[in-house]
Amino acid sequence: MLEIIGYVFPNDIHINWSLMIVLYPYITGLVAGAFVVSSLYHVFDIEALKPVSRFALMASLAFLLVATWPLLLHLGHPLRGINVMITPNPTSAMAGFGYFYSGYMVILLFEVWLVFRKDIITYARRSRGLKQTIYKVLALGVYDTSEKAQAIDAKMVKFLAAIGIPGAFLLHGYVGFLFGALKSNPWWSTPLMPIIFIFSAVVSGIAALIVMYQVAMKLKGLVIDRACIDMMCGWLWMFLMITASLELLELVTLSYEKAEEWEIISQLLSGPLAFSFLGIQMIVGVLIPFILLMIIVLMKENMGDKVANTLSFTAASLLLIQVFAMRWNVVIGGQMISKSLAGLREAYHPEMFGKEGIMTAIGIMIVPFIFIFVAEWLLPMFRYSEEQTEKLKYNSPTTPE
Amino acid sequence: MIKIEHTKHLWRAILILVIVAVGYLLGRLFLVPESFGKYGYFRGDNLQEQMDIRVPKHGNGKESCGFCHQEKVETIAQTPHTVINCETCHAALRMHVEFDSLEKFLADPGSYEKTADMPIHSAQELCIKCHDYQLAKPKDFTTIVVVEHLEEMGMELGPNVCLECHDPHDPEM
Amino acid sequence: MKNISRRGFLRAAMGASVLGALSSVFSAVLPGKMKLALASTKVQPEPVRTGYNPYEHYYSYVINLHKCIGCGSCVRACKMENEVPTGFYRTWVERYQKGEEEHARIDSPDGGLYGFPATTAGVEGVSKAYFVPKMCNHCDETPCVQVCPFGASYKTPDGLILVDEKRCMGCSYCVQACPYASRFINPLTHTANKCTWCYHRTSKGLKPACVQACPTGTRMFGDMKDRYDPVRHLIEDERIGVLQPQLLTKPKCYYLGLDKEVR
Repeated sequence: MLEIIGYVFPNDIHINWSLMIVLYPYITGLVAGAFVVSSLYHVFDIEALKPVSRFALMASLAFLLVATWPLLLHLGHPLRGINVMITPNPTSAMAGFGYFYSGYMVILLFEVWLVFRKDIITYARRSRGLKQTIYKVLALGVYDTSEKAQAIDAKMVKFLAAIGIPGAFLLHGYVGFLFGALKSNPWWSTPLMPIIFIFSAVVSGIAALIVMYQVAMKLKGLVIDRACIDMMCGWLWMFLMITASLELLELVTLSYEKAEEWEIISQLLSGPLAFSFLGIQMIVGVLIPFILLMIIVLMKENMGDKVANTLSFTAASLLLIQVFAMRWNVVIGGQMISKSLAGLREAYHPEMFGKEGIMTAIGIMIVPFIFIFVAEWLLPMFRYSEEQTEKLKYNSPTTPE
Repeated sequence: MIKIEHTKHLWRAILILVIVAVGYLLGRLFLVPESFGKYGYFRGDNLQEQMDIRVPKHGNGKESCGFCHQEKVETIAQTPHTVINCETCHAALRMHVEFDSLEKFLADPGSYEKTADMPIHSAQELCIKCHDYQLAKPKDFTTIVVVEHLEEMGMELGPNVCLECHDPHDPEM
Repeated sequence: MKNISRRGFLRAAMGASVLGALSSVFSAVLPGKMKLALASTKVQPEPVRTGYNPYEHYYSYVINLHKCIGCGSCVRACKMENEVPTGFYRTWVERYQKGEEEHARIDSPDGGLYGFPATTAGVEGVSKAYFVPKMCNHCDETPCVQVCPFGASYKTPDGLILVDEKRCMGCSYCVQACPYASRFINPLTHTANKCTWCYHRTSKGLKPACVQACPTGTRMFGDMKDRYDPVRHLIEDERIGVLQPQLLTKPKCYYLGLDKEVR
């Protein structure tokens, strides 16, 4: 654990920001990315994304609900964390967390409620027992589903989906600023950091939706909408190109300027971080998905549905790993460099059990899926896909899907 | 004009939001620490707490030791070792005389009694830490290559070997 | 008619709640701001204890690198005085050995706690070597106080940077922000810790434990507001350097005889 190369300051041998702090921006990235997909439909009227729009909103909410958990598990005194909302320091990026998180939560909850309000009222009238109580509470005692009310709801949804985009970008981008504005750590210090975080967040969000949408459709026996997959792959490819360009740009600028920090950063990248940076983040994580997505997008007309689904699923899964590797390389990689800029910590091995361990991380990542299952039970999100599947069955009764 | 037709549900939602917001603001009123902002953007009471965070372990240099050990201080004053604080080679004052306030002790050292023997380090490591030759040490500081010095003297590096010839309170030969 | 009175009622209700929210904002936000404004004006709050007014002092620290012998007495004294946990350092000493290679070989065995073994192993043709004691620089433009989420770390009126252990939540942001690696998270209290220039001693007119322990006069502690303080004159008259000056943190630990190799 304490393998050291070169000279590391005596207090610098401990890694303070652990696996939990790698997980936190990953989760908020999924939140922001899923929201962007939903907003592409609600604000920019990209009809092809209709099958996933409701699911994307719920997924964003599901991950938002667990976003604070890694932070609370990491803090030495988690209950004192509330002080960020009581006496926030205006010069500290971390102080923004309380406001960005609650602000975005308000927008998202409001939008989810408005999108599902008609369903809530319909189910409130139809159901009985516990479910009916839940629906009645969610309806806030108003059962107005008239055309006018729905029109007003639609306008509000559009507005919320629009302002939610900067809200989500703030929620995730402030973490990038938190790292990027630290002049003490040259691996982190760059104005590009918040932008890199945001763009790779959108990549992770779209990739997560491609994966989850296909899994959900398979589990429910519904048709996977090809146009939807194509649209998501197109956006994913574009955002991947931008993200990869930004990540490489930072590296190229550092190596070109050859300022004081390049000595230790080049040692880091060719040494302890070589596998996770070049191997996973760049080659497995960028190059291969780039090629797969290029094939899907450019050969869209000549490709069958099954092939497209498989390739997009593979590319998206690799990208989910890539974004996690990027967070790891930024957070852990930055701490491997000693402030002396003359030494490296060799490797960080998170513990298996323990409050900042691997099992805890897996546990946190499972909870949003439990929420999604509960959400599906309460407010089905795939009714459009169900209608599509029904139509297909009637149109071609002999062609199994 | 605020249309209120078909917007009842929106107002209900906004009402909940306003209640939460007002609740937060009122809660905050009670939760900001009393002394916050008194001297700057921090809890002002902590300034006093930090001054009282612990009773100092070390005394006030030779002044504190000199009250009881005047002769020792005067003897050492004639030697190069006078620049060293007694506690640097011996232990912190509170290991020898317990007190619960350094100010009270300094005001009237006579009223305090020894609570434990002051440790006396005779080990050669203590001398070596300062006086063993190293290129990094300043040229105007007295050093000697200890291993060679002992060879010349025909002695072995062992416990308390320096004290066989040198007296730390009168080190010059 | 029903609509108008409903409209009117709703308008009034909205207005009332907005007013209520605004007044809560004012009552919650302003008192803190007013206190802050008070602190920065000429009107100073009463001193914290009789006999010591933090506004009458502004401390600085000078380290004369021509004199350090690397004995480690300062590290031992600090550890004893402040109950510093093992493996962490509020102050430490580094040794630089410059030979034929481009960079000096730097080492700090246990922070210098047990002194330095007399060896030049691993350095070809050592021509220059020296010791550099280090600690928190109590910067004037601290990156650490800047990033503390809610003011648990702060600057005192007498120039020290301290951590309120009752409020600190151990987020480690300050530890990451310090370019000098002066801070650490105390494994017992789970809060940020660092050199405090022995505030519990200096507020009583004593010297920090490290300054008192130093046998060669390498370490010096002074008050910039004291006209007769020799340390203040040292800073004003001699050629001094600070660590990592390009970061403009404005450290208050000044070094005499600082070499370009020092990190």
